[in-house]
Amino acid sequence: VNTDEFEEFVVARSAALLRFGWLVCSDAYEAEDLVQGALAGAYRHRRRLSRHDIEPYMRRSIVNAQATRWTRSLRRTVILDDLHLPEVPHDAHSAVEDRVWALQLLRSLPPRQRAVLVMRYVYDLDEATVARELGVTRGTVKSQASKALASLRAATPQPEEAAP
Amino acid sequence: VIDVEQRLRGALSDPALAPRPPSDPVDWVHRRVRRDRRRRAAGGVVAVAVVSASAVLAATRVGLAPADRLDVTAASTAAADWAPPPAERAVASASRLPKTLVGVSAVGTVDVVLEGDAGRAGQTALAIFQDGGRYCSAFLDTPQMLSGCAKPESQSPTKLWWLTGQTTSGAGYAAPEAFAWGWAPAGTTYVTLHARGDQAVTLRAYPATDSKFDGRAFFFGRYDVMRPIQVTAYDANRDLIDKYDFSPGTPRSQP
Repeated sequence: VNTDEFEEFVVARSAALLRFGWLVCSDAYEAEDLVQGALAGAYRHRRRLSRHDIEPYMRRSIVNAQATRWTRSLRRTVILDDLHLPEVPHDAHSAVEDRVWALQLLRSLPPRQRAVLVMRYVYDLDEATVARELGVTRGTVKSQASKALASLRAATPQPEEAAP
Repeated sequence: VIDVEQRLRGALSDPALAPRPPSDPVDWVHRRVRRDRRRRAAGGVVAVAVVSASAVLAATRVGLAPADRLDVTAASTAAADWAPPPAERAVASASRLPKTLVGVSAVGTVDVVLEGDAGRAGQTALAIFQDGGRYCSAFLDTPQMLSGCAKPESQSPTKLWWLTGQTTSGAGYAAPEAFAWGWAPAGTTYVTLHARGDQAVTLRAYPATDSKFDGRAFFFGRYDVMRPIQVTAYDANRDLIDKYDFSPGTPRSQP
């Protein structure tokens, strides 16, 4: 794409990319950093990208950048410890609680498992598309999704366990 | 067996749940391109700033503002009355922080509430600390640091006062998503937060222990503030005290 086309893409899709970045890293500010960096990288290579492949390229860049951050242990986000928060009554099963549940569990997963879950179950992309965008095989997508879901299930109390 | 896939979809599929996009995304990208160029030209050296609770305490107790600490008041100069004195300015340290500290107690004894991560530029951090009767919040973001100080005694004691939300300009209030806090009128025991499409979440409000705050209450708890929200204060009998619609990052106007 040329510069004008790239800028059109940025205007049209940066909000959607921020949402993807946020889902992949669970942090709004880190998502801004990831997406901004990925767009800056794509800008440098824009002439090698076509209109068709720029968005998958961006998603892959965001996932790769997040995976790189993940491997640097000192750069991981430290999760707020709930034990230090005051006890507050919550309305059970609220949408907010579900989002907090989902984001906390996603945070606990390695970045590629998280990306596979987001792409498969939030974006409803099929295995072949996820594999193509992440540059892995369908078998890898399947196994990453399976491991991630198993982790989520293990970390989610069943109703009878959750009851007081 | 809980359908984890379905619950994940339900929790995250709302397209409105997303960080606020930049107002000028093209300029946003070009700024990053220029910054990356400068960094490469400088041999890849990147200053890493970290806010730590210990740095906040050290700065407020000792009054030091060494060169490797950053001034969080820069963004709050527009509200000169709210700017903390110089001794309280330095809350950011360039040193590494092994662990993030979080703490909250009843208002009047709150020292530090801090959430963040360590060791990277652009990390998020939030602190609320006491400053001679004021309660200050500090926030570190990419590329700028924002801060704001709340002076509850300058607000109406009979109105809700909102401190949280997404990063803003001006007074520079900021909060991590999924947390909300603010001031509520005297007598408030519970505060409910209710965004369109969500069920209400109830937070406990803690009365200020310092008499100068007229008994008003401080609330703090989980809530991801990504859209306009209705905040309602109730007393212990669940009788209404005050209600107001807030937009993320926009405190209620002063009466």
